[in-house]
Amino acid sequence: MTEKTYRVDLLTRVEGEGRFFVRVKNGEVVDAELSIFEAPRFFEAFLRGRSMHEVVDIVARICGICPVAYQESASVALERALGVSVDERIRKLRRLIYCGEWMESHALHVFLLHAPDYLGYPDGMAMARDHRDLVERGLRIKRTGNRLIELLGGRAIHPVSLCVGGFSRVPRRDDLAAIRLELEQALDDCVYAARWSARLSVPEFDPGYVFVAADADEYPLETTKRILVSGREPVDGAEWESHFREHQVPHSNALHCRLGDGSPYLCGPLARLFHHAERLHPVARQLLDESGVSLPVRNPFRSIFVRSVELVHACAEAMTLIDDYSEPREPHTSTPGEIPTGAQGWGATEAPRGLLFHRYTLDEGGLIQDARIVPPTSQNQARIEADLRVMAPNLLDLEQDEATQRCEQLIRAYDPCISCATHFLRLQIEREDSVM
Amino acid sequence: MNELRKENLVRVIALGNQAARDDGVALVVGQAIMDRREDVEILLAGRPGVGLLDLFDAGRPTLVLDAVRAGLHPGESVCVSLEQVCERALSDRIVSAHGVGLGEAARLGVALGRRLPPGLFFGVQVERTDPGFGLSRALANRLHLLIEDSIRALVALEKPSVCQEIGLRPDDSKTSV
Repeated sequence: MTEKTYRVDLLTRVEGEGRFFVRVKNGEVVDAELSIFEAPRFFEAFLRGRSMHEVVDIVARICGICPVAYQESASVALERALGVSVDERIRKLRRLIYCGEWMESHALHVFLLHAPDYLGYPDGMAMARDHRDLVERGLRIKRTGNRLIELLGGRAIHPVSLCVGGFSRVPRRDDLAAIRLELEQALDDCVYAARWSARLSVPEFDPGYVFVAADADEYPLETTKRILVSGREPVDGAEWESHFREHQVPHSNALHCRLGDGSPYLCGPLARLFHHAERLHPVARQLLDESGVSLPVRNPFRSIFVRSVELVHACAEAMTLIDDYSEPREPHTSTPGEIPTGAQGWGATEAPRGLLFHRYTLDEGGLIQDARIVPPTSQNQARIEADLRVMAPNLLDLEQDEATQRCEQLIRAYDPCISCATHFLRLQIEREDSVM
Repeated sequence: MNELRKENLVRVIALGNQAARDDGVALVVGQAIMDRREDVEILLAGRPGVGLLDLFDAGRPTLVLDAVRAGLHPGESVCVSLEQVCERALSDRIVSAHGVGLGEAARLGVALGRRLPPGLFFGVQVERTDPGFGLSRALANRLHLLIEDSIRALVALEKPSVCQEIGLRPDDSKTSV
């Protein structure tokens, strides 16, 4: 009897705290678990009883990397509950700030968190010593994305100007000139990233995904008509529970989400590209075509390339949105004075890591009665475990370290966001000589 | 304040998360300095991650304020040179993008051949960091001292001789850390 175990007790280069464990006995996978041991955060519970106008600022705190995604999914859901339609110019402004978020999030992941796996380094810092130019390009893209968010949102992390109905203030056309120039420079770095990542050597892997993404007339970002599920009929978000099922597993503090029939599915860049490749910005589409990577992309190890194509898309799209920008008459649409009891609305947008679903129920005073938030990492958890199961038998011929690293690389391909609310600088301090 | 003058000012960078109780202490201290000293540039930076590198100007004296776990009593503070803090930060890998703090960002800067600004690090030992607003009693009770001590650090940066007296090397900018 042969038994092999691959485990990492603290996953590095992902957002938050998790571990994985894979056990193979006689060539059969016995266990494959991704454990998220970060403490539960209870956001849905403490939204109850709060004013609907507080929601956007509260949910921004769920994540420091993708706060705009939370703010916009919440806004769309609450506006649907209230029967409010936003001005087309507001919608485009929302799209613009979302482009900034994709840029900062994808750049961090591609260049600092995932690239070391492909180039054989333990982390981004070690890689930076030998690949300065690559890392500097990533930092430039990230900086530009952050500046775009700051310009529209008031600050780069947890922006403050987004609200139900739009923004508390909007920029003048002239305000966007400087960032337009920066985006132009960043586009060069994004194009480089797409060409560079297309050439990376990746292991063959096709676990057979069901792809889930937002349905939109443009490459999906800030809004959803329905939810697309490959091989099935599109889903109306109002009927979420009829098609998706969240459930608790003993080894994780995050809920798993599966399709109604119990099968796992994938959301994120590969799913977006599967459903919307023809809606990419022409510059991104051209790079995709010239890459030699054939569609649909079903290999998660290729996600670094797909994210890079999305970087090009976000940057080029942001430039187009700025070129077409005209200031809305009002920064936001007013919310109605009277709210019917039990008003309910759902909203889903495409966070950098995938579909982010929100649903809220309001009382007649505009207080939240019920909240439901389904983040992309929660949706992808079951799929990650299924991937580990599929891949595990192929690891048996590899050295232990290489096999373990391959598992980590696969998990990181999902850019899992196990959000955390605190940060620390842990210092080795000798009290006697250091206290002021 | 014109830009020419601003370039000569000490820069204060306050890090932390106001929604995690004591983790936001540096932001409270930074705000207090802002209220008392108009001649200092204060950046209430929150958690900029690798973006911290963009806030460093190698030519400007810089005071970084942050919450720490350093084995001290809650509310006690520690002040060391930026160079020392980067040597002492324990984590040697980027465990989480959320967790990219001063030490990790500075080490990334070193790897990229960037210079750290001359400066000091002022850290405050935390007690509670669960989600929520407001400092723990231990920190709230010492807040006035923390503000005074951080201003002393600021003055030390403005007068390098004071730094030498207390054994700090904030002007050691020639060394890439």
